Amino acid sequence: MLFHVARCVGQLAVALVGIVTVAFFLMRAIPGDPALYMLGDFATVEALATLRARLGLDLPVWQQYFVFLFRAVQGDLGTSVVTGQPALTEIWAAVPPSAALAVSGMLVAVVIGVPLGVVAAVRQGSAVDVAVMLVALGGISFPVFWVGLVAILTFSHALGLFPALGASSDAGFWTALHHMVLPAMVLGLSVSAYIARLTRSAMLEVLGVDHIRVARAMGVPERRIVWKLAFRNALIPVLAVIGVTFAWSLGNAILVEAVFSRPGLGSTILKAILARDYQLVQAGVLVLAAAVVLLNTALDLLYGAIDPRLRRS
Amino acid sequence: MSATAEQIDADAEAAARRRATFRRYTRHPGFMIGAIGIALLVLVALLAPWIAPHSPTRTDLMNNLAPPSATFWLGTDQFGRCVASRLIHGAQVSLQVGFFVVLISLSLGTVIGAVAGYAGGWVERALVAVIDILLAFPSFLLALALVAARGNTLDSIILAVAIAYTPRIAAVMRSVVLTIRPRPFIEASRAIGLTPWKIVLRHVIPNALPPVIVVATVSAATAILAEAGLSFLGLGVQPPTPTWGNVIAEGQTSITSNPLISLSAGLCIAYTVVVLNLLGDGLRDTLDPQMRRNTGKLL
Amino acid sequence: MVEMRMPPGFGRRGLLAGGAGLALGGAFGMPVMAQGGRTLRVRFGSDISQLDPARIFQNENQSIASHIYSGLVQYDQATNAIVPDIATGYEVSADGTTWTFRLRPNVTWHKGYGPFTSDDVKFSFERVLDPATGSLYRGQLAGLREIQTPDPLTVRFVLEAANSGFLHKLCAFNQGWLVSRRAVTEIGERYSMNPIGTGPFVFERWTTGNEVRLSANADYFGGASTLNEVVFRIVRDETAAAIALENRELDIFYALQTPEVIERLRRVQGVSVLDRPANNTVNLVLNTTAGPLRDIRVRRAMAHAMNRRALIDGFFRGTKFEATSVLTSTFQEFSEEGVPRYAFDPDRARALLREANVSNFRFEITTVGLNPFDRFPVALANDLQQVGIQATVRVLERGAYVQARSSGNVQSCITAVVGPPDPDSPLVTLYHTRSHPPGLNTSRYDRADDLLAEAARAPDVAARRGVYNRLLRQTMDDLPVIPLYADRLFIAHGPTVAGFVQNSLFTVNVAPVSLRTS
Repeated sequence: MLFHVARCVGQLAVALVGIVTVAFFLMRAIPGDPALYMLGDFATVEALATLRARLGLDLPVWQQYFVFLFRAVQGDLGTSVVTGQPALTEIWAAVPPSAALAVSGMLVAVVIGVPLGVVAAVRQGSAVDVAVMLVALGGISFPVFWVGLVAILTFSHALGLFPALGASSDAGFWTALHHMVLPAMVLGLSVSAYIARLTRSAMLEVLGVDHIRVARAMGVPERRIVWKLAFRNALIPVLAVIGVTFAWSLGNAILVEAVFSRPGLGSTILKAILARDYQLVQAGVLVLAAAVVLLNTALDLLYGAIDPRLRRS
Repeated sequence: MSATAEQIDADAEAAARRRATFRRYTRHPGFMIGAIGIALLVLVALLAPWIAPHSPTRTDLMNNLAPPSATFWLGTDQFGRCVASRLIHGAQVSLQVGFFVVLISLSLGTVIGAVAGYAGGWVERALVAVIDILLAFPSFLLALALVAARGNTLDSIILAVAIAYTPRIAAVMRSVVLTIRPRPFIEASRAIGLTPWKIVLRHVIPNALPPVIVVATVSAATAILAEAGLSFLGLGVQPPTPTWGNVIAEGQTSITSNPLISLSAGLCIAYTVVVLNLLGDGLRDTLDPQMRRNTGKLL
Repeated sequence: MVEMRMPPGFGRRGLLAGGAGLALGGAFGMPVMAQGGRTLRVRFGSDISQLDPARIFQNENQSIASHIYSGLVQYDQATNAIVPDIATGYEVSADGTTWTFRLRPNVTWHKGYGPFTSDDVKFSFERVLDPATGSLYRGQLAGLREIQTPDPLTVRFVLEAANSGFLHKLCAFNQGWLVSRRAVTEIGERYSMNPIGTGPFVFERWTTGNEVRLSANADYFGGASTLNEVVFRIVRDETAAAIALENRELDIFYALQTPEVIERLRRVQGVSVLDRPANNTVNLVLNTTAGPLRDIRVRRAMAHAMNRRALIDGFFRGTKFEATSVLTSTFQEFSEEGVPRYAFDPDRARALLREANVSNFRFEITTVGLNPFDRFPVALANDLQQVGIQATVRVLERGAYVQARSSGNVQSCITAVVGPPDPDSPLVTLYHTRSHPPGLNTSRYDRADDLLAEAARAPDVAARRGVYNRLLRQTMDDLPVIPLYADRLFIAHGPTVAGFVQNSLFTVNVAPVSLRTS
């Protein structure tokens, strides 16, 4: 068991080093210069040279990489070029709003997607099934930022029901919730479409399995068959899709954050990429990727809890 | 050389098989809608210069933001360009993005995935590690960084999106190859002394291709959405190129007064994504009903 | 002999500041008094990055800094006249080389950084001059020989030679903002985002990409604000910001650019849309060392080919002004007599191109991906295509754009020099050889240095205007830079905002604002 955990941690570490390495060299490949970005239009040659030396940008790239790795191992991901604050501090500040959006978006997605998928599967081939699948197809077909724009036009502009800004500057749970409704719905709807499709096909497969047929033949009520027997078995592929769509919805979250002027990891990293804020991008990508990897590890453990047969592998 | 009876029989049998396959496709409503929908779109894209009532780039500042009329079906944008013509020409760009992204990511992903699935040993472990690392990146973010790196021309956007979505195809390919590897015909080719590369190219890839093609269809849709997303963030294809993403982004500033500009471009994208998905679903059902499980997870 | 020179209105500010709350309260409804909720929310289009006066640039940074810092003197928000800030008065020696300022007593730095003294003034300017600081504005203080501090409330500047424009350099903007020796030394590396000033607001916190919070400085020497707090919210999209303003999620809409949004907000009940000519033009800078652009006829042909009138009336719907040179009418030194103009005349453009024997000319306009700069060049490129120039537009996101422009390897680019109403700001930046790349003189123009030096030596405004007029005539004749339009600033605010004054600096300052119940 201990060996298993150690192995997991080892793999995680390798994955994270890999991710950071990709991020490091990708950022260096981007033309542009953080010093120039910092000093802007009136930068003088000497001022640029001074700042570059201070930032360690005058060293060869491979040397910068090892300096970076050496410090990263000690938990120091450098300081943001733009703000002068530790990069990790900056990134942590962006995590809560991102997590709130991701979790509430996922909640919306599951609440909408799973029942739709189950209903469609139970009524396979009926008008309900076709309607649900068409709606689900629509949900993944519109650009997420476009849905956001339409939502602002409808619910903020025309109806005045929800704020156009997806985050409030005042504290307070209810205010925050009120601001969260539109972004969470927009993000959730796109993911719910995937979840509905996946739930449907997983349910269809399970409903055709022998023990369900036997249960049905023995006169177990249909409601009980669907929710107790079939759904339980269909849960694993549904959980799997949550894991897979998580990374993808983080990508969509960048757009949702942009439409609704929300703070978050996505917009922080986007801004850092455009500002050539190397340290911030590296730290952000690291946190983001770690979240994805950890979520998937957690889901693997959860499968084991749901279905003991999976534990052995 | 005259045909023997066996040959005629074989030909007839093959013809019958082809007819059966054809029927299987035509009887699938989703596939038919998808295929016709795509065909229509390709037609519009090819005939754009003749269908479009105006030039998609010619500006007329004194006639900007005009409402829809007989001459300008969907009105004009902030430069006085015909929105309808821009959408019609935009089909060309969007289809190019979809097609080339799929072409590139499919070729790269297939080879990487097949090698990763077939090779075994440290090659497999290394490739799988790299694929996993890249899968942990939100691919849209990866595409975004690549566009920032290479500049926002059409070519570099296509390349960026393709690279960003390659790991996904590679992952599907590998998982399919894993199911093929233990099959007898692979054993047999190894027994007759074919080199691993030849086995991968001649047997593994062709046999694993159907599920990957399904994923590819959907990737085309994802690529079109990604292009639109990049335009929205200001990293889209250079103006004045008419892309649907650009039309949405450019129409955004006048969305309260002239909502038709952004709305119609959004609908064009949605239409394309819907028909591509229908086509993909149709292909999945008809190519191989069993592979639902293999591909479903990654869509 | 000591000559006392005081611009009209000098000292008025102090009087006004003492009774600020009362005066404003009387003039505009009733300010909300006491018990919390006095938070003003201002929209920003993009994020801040840097609040150190030695390195500061960009409107958003400067807007925040203008709330935090004071200068010796400042531009009056409404009139652009130079009025006192922390200095109570100044004297200039007869030869114009020694400037002595008396400082206001009992001023303290924010967050307990102690009393403000003349030593801080000396430190602030010497820091800008020190090459190790890497200040962007070192050149602005060229000719400053020494700073003396005879006592804590007196500071003296000794110049190499008389400079009638010297007061501009000390104004509360960029290098003119004063910093605390103790704060800068103690905070060190992190100072740029932990600024300490003496102004009406104290920097509280910044959430990247989201908001900047300031709180009122109760000890402000000009009288504390009636607001408790100001929040600058970053809302990129103007349509969303306009909806938020209507829904009262925001109070002030800064950096209002889009003509359609301006038109719409003007029709909204309760929303006031203010506008003012800016101190800058937006220009197409041509590289005069590259290919056909070396030929003056080609540059003139381009000016004739571009329909700048249609750009202003059609694309911008009349929200911008025509530009005749890179100076705008907001400058005291502005003049247009004898300055050549280039009317829209495609035939003339074609003729000039034929004369220059130019064909198959590929021309690229490099521009930045910020509204409206990523858009309007499309129309210009289209105009150029009509006369046979194969013009294209290349939009780069800001980082890549700054890189491309400072490399100097661009055929042309869109450049606007936003700044104070000091003519040197656009003229030195665009025409002086000192500003050759990485500076903004990407045309590599080299015939303006002598005239600029002559203007600096000119004894008074009239003489300066004369020299600048010669410079404008010459540069508009040589045409290394084609002015496209003169900018105009729009700001909108909701019904609860009272006492707001819009400036022409492209910044927003809410120091005099109060909130009233609607």
